[in-house]
Amino acid sequence: MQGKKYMISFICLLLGLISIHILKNKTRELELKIEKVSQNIISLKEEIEVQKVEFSYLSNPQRISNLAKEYLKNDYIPLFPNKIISDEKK
Amino acid sequence: MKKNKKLKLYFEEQSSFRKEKNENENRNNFVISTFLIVFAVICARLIFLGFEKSDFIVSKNNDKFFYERKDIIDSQGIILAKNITVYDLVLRKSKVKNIQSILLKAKINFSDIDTENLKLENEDKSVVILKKNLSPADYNKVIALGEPALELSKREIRIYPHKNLFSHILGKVDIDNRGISGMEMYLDDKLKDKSDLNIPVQTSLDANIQFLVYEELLKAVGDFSALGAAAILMDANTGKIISMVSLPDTDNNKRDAKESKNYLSKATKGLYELGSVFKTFTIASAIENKIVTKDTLFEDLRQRVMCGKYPINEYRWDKSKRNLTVEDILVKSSNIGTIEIINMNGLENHQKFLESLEIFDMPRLEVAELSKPNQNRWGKCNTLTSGYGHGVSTSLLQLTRAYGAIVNGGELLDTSILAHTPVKAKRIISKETSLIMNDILRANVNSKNKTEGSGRKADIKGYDVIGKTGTAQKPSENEKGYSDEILNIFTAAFPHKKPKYVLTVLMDEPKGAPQIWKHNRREAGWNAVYVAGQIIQKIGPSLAINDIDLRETHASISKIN
Repeated sequence: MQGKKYMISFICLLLGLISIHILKNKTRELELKIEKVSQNIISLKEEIEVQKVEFSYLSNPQRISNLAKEYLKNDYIPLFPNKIISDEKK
Repeated sequence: MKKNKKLKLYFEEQSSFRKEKNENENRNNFVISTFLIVFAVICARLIFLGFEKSDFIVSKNNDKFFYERKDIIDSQGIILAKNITVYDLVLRKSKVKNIQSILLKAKINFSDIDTENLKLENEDKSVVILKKNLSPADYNKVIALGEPALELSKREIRIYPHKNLFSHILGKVDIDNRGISGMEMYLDDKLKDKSDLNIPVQTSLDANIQFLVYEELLKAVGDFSALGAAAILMDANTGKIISMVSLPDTDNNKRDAKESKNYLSKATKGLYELGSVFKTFTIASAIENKIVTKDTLFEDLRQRVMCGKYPINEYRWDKSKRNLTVEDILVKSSNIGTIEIINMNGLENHQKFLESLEIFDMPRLEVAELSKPNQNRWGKCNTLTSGYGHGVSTSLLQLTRAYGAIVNGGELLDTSILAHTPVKAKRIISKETSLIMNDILRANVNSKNKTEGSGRKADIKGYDVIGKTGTAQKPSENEKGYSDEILNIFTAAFPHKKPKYVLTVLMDEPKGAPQIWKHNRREAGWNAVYVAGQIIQKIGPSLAINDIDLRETHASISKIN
């Protein structure tokens, strides 16, 4: 009877050991994955930061104004209030 | 015998059984003890593993990524300055025996490397920079080359996507990312504060408004062949700077040192005699002290008065300047009338009022380039001439600030470029005086006014502009006294009934523009005012988008007209 108890305890321990071993290895694998993903996130973030600067440069008013002058001069004309004739004055 | 034998056998069996039993018990105990020890060890190990963390890989990066200097953004979130990572191509001499073959390899792949001028042999350095700021294509080429001696060196650089646009405000950083001018220098510690590197520094500036002001000012420098120009647009009720331009300027991304003093910030650093805009303060002081009203008439004003042995002349005197009300004194910009007002108000009151406006104090703004005006020595003549801005110098920023106090209801506000910095307010004049002053200043700009004011070229329909001009002779650089060159100012505010914005325009040594006016006059009314009008016309719609008050004023004025 006592031997049975010891055997069960031994088996439980063995199972515990094996599962911890597996768990540990799995965790390590996941940690490695996380590390890789983190590295990826960093390089992506770095890229986003560069893109932000690029967007800021591409959308800066000076550049847009030059492009508008080059391509939109026939489509858009500045409209000032003194150029508008109201209905009453007509 | 048999029995005995049996008995003997029995005893023998018993004793051997006992012996065997003892041996088994010992063995069992040993096994149990061993198990217990192993069990205890394993238990201990399990508990240890439960608490142990260092055994696992802990990410050192924590996916947090920051540059060593914060971004600077405008009020709309547009990036004005930002650090990015760049790579340089470097040659590590210790890793190569035949340098020339590596250089040839580098030259084939990167044609712009000047290999002939690289003094490799004489240099003691183990690393030589072959090419700075590699493009992404060049970066990939280096990786593909796989040459151990050719390395990529990572570093951070500061980028200003708007180039010249915020030249004087933002300033520059050196190669070690330390601020060396402008805001970069003033806020160096704040920008490098490691506790919140991910939070950008937000300014009150507006990149779109800044561009419109910049463009008009640049055009004006060309139109009037001026040495330079400057403009400040300030929120009259908060003291926040929305736009600040000073020309000429430089591209912040380039490391070229300009030694000419013409490149100093005319908005914050330059100290100038600002001329007749000071008449606004003279009249405000007298009205506040209840010495005059805007309709008080000054009769028989002369062409010249003497202060001791020094004559004070009226500018372009004619008969229409003989009898003037206080309003007319400002509209016609009468020097003699202003002197009469100071005499009535009292020299001391006038001095105190100018001092309360802190015109001669060190300005407060988050840029490194600031100048403290020289302490004025208040003699009698000096006090009188200060009434029309002669003999006293200050910066454009201090003038804009003081002007803001006159038009915003009487509160002098601290100026700031940062969006979220609280500003202090100090009452200078009463609300009533401020309203009267706004009416007088409107009369100077209103093109429908019978008395033609010097600011009428800035009377932009729909914005109800108020303002005062100033034309000052520049002190001579070589000899005592004044040169022939002039400096023109126009300080405006709009809309008239509840001024929200103060705009100051300065033109440095403008010339006549016959191509625009068909004459060669060069006073402020013919350049600074015109430029301010053009600026208001351009920025007005952009400002009105975010400003319900201005939109309503615009709509109501358009209806009346």
